[in-house]
Amino acid sequence: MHIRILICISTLLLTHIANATQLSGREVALKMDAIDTSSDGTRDATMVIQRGNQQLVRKLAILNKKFGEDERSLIRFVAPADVRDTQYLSWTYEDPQQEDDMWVFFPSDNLVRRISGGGKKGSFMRSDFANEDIENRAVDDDVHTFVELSKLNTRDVYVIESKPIAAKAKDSNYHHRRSWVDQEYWIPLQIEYYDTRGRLIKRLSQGDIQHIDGIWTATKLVMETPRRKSKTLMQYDNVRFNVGHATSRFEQSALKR
Amino acid sequence: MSIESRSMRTARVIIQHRWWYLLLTTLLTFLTASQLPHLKIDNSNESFFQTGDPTKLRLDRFKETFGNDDFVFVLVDVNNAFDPQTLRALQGLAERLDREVPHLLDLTWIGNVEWIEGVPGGIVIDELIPDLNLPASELGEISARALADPLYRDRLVSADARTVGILLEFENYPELGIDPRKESPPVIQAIVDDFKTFETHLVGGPIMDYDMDNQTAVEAPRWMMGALLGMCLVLAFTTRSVLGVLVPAATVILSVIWTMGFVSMLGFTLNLLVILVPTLILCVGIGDTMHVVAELQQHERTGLSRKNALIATLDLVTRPIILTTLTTAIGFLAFVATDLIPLQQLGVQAALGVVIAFVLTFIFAVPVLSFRTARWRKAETAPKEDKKTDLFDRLLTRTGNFVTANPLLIGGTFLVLTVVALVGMSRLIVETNTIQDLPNDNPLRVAFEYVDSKMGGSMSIEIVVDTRQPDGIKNIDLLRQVERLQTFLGQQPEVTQTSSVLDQLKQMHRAVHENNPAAYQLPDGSNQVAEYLLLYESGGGNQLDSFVSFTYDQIRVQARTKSIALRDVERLQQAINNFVEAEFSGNVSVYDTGTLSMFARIADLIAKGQLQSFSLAFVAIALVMIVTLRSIALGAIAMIPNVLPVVFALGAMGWFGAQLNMIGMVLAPMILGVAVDDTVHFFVRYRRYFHETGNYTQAYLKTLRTVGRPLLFTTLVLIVGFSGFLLSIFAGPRNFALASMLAFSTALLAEFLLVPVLLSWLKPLGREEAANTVNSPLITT
Repeated sequence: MHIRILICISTLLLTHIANATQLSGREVALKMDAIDTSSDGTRDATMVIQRGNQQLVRKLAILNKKFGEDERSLIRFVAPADVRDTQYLSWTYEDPQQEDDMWVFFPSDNLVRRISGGGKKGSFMRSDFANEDIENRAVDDDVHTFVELSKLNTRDVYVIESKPIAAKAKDSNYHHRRSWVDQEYWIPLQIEYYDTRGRLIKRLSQGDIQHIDGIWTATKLVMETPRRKSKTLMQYDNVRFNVGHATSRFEQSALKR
Repeated sequence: MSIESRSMRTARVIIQHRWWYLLLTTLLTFLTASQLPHLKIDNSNESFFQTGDPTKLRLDRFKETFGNDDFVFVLVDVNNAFDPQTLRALQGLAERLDREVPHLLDLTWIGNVEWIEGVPGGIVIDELIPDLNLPASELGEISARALADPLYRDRLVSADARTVGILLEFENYPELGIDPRKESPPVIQAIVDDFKTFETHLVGGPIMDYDMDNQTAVEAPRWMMGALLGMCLVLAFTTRSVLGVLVPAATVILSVIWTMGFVSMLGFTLNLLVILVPTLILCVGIGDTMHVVAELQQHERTGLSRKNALIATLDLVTRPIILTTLTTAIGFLAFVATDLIPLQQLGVQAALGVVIAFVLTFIFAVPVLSFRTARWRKAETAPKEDKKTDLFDRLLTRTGNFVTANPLLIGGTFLVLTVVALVGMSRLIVETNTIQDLPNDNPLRVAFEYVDSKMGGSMSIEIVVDTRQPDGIKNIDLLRQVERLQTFLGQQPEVTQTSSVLDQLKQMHRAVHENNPAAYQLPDGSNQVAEYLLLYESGGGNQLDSFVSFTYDQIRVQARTKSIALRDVERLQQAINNFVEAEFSGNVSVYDTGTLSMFARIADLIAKGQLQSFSLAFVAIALVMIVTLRSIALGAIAMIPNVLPVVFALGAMGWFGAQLNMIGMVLAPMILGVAVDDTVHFFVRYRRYFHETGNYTQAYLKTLRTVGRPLLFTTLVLIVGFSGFLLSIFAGPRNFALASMLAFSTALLAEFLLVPVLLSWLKPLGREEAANTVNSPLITT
């Protein structure tokens, strides 16, 4: 009898301790944000977009460099051939009040144009990814709420819900996102995207997590849009970090050949 | 064993086991009635087509490539679309629609539509109105920009800025048991009703179908009640007895319940065409019981007991009733030969109803009539002499005398009228645009016409250019061809607006060139096309999936039109075909699809189906007549009073400018199948009396005197019954009713007037016996 009471009390205590060490939604988001300790990086991306029995293949070379809290990235299109060497340069700022900058280079016209305004909600190259899914999202662009501790495919995960702050809600397709964040890698293994009516719009699965240059990186991403019966596989190859890109590569003047 | 004695034996069995038959009827009635709540209505245009129909396949392919083409347009009347207060109120409406409308994929209005603009050194991709709270001066500038741009003017806001359109587009509907298409209209209606300060109009495919479905649900009972009431009045007038009204009416009501119950069990859906079925069964099915009642009354007048009179009646009428059931069912089954699903369903269901009415005559009407307590009014069994002054008898007598005296006049008149009717038939116009079938003040029609007048058209024809190779549409030469096609479309009188991805490419080209108006044109090379499309798709590009196929092998050009008549659709289609043949090479396939193409296809099927089903019904019924009358000549003559009503009815429609729609297509085979009933009764009796008298005139006069009366009554009931369709708000059923009424009158007149003349001229039954005088009037007043 005494032993039983003891077990009960210790269970209660342990639960209490566990709750005390449990992270808040924002803390989980900060952990996710902190895994990429690199100063810059490079990767090749292959996108296979499947809709019904049709598919499109896109290839891109991506470079990025951090500038303190802010980040600059350069995307160069490799395939299909008709858009080869078209480049997008974007500067994203941690400050939610500051609007990101973006330039595009059209090789046929040999023209650089600054793109401003919306477009974040748009689809990224007709894939299931929206532009906002690809870009680096600042932690405080969303309000993060802890949902539960759970398991996903035998992995221990934090489930958190992230809802855009009022200033960012207008630029987002989503009412909220629900992420299953691996407790070891701090990478979301799965993200579900919901609309204002609470309906699931898309589901992202991330896998093939590799330890590259000391950084845990998901190299295989699958985004599905069940209602459109379409899905996009994004495969990252030749991923490298801390390669030492020159700052000048991320200037708009460097876009023209 | 002859069929007569078999009929008598059947009659005895039925009378002997009448309680069992009535019990069976009761049980089956409960069973079928329990199925009625499961009946479903579906009026969508697509529901007309067979699975393998090329038009349907093209539409399916189109939807698969460019997404669901269903849309609802909510039009709001305002004083100034760009007034901040108005914009905020509209945003409230848009937000609620966005939040609550089921299966919504996209909602577009001036408050959220994208705007692409070139500025020095850059391109702005933003919303047309980035902030609804902008000062009036800035909103004024935006207003000027939007109203000057064809991408917005007359699409999302009228040129006078007094009408704002909120466009709702739908996802590809999930394949569930319920019809998801029917879910959005009531929600949209309820939301706009909450915004009482706005005057709103709703148009679009789902709205049209939903309205038609509701209308269908209202119309069917209205027609039925109208028909039933009219028929009961005629029955009361002609039989002068409660029983004479109740038994036939109850028989056909039960027939309708049974038929619709079986229809529900078979999983058929109802539509504006199939809902003709209950009323048709009421009108057509009542004939069997009426013949039984009329004949029974006559036999009882001779002093026979009820049971014996009933047996004698069935001896006389069973054979013709079987025949009329067979021929009418054939008339309806002929619709199976058409390629339109609703018509096939109507054919099967109506034929089923006719057979059920026949069965119920024997297992319900006969058992009920066999009860001795079921009495006629006293006057009905009074001695025959009392009835000699009866209006109908007098009418028939005079008819007989007139016919025997004026054969040439009758023959000549029918000939002239037939020629006139044939000319009328050549003037018939087929119309399949349902909106054109609605009265001018119908809210749906008003809404469509509002869109036509304010927002540049409520309907569209879609042209798909398929290059049959991935990235094929990025070829600048092809795009220039498509540009010529789009320009050509814009020049057509029926077309109010055109759109394609070329609009976006030109907009992008202008934006890249710092908004230079001269740059509003296609880019110079194919690579630029690819790059602009890339920028467009990455920078928002909502419209891309709707106008360019996923693998860039197909491009869609939309031509919006007002709600135009079929002949204009056909002209437009022809013009497009001619242009495409002259302009595009064989490597590229160009085809049209969308609502207007479906109207045209339905019209084709109507024209083809009308001919097919009529020919089939004609051949089958002619064969039945020849076999029954055991004479090719007599069978051939018997077809004349059946074909004439069709010619007269369609001829009259042609002369009066009534349009032939799908309901009109029911006319010809149905008239044939129904009119032949008179012929069967008339000819079967005529042949019998000719063998008795050996004289054509006497056989005619005796036929007229005996079977003439029930024929007159059944025709009267048919005419009054069909008048139920006159209560429809649609022109289609009303024209159908008028044409049918004319046809049934013609059938009876041809039977009474023309047939005896033809028979006495052509003598298909052989020579007369010398003993009888040819022209002696048998009937005296």
